[in-house]
Amino acid sequence: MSHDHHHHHPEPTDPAIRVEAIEQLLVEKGIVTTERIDGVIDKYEHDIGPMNGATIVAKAWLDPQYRDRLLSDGSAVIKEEGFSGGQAEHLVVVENTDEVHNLVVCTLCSCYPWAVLGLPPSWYKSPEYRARAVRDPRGVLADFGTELDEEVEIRVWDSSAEVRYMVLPQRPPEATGDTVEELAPMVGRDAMIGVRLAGADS
Amino acid sequence: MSDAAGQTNRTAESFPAKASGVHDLGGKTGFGPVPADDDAIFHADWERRAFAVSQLAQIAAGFNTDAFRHGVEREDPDLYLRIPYFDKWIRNGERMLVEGGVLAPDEVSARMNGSESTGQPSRTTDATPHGERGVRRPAEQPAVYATGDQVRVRTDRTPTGHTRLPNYVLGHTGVVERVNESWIFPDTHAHGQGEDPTWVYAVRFNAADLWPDDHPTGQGHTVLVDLYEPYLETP
Repeated sequence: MSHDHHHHHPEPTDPAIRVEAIEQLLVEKGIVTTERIDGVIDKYEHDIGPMNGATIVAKAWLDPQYRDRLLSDGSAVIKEEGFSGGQAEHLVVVENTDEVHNLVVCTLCSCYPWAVLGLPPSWYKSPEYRARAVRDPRGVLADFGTELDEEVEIRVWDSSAEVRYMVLPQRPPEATGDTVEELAPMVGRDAMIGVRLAGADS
Repeated sequence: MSDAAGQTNRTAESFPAKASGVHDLGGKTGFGPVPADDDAIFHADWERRAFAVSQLAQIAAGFNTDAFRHGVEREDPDLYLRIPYFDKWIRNGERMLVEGGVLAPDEVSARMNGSESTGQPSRTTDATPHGERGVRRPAEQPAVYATGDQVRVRTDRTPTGHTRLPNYVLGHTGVVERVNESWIFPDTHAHGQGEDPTWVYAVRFNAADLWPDDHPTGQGHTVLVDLYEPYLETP
């Protein structure tokens, strides 16, 4: 821990210098290798991401039995798809309908279903989103240009334990294809968090 | 208390600082609009490296994810809300390495200044890793509550260490929406006080109960919070 921690008004040091210093020390001491660090970055930047979630949403739109299994046991489905691990030991998929719209947040930190959506976007980790999503979800949706009918019940899921939540968005009218390849590009990351509708950010 | 590996562990007092609670943001007002356009995962190369190095630091220090989260929660409250997300991570990576006895307390700052460290590494906590087994565990007792049960969030617990109980539901009554399996209890596990597997419930609250002034008609949205069984009581 840095010694400025106990000052009354600490000023942060350039984090890039701190990262470099720690990386150097760990590599010099033989605790980690540069290759291992690069491997972690590569995995989360390239191997996992919202295309995983988009694939299962597209499959659920096309196959009612798949949809039913996804909603009743999301963990089993992502395991079959080979997406397990990475903050998704237990995945619960919640479905948007004409009556219910779901929104996912983590008010205490930044929990997010890495296995199906990759790493979270910056705004998801912002104090603004974490503070307001549970209290004023319609206001948050408006920040994304998303407007819902007054009658729609909004359900906000606070990921405060180890369960991870993903939204199964409604299939938009313009999503007319009948293959996963045609439909998955219509499923944006933000629709699977619940701040936008499918099609709108894709 | 001992952990799954049978090691004896010290308590939260061995951590140098307590969580300020500034991280517990749910329901707080006045933060302004969500920066919806700021949707990058990483903004700069140092953020990429901070992401990986912090996690590898946690592992090298022999800590679990609960201890890592608690480390971030112990960030200086004056900094917590204004420094970049991955700055909090790398500062916590350093905290983990120092508390785990991998690096001397002055080792990173010395390297950043181009000077020599004079300190010695010394482990100050016995928090443990959870290894490859994840964090889901069978509980010793059956679940106390079932779907549809009314539960109240206890107000007689006042933890100063790690907890996953958000303040905005304290004292409120909700309904169990689903029983979400059983898991390592973060409140003990973060402090090396054992896994203590416990049931987790998705509990449904009415926003009109949580924030009555926001909803004068009594109609509002629904908030579902995953709560560990020790946080709950029968109303």
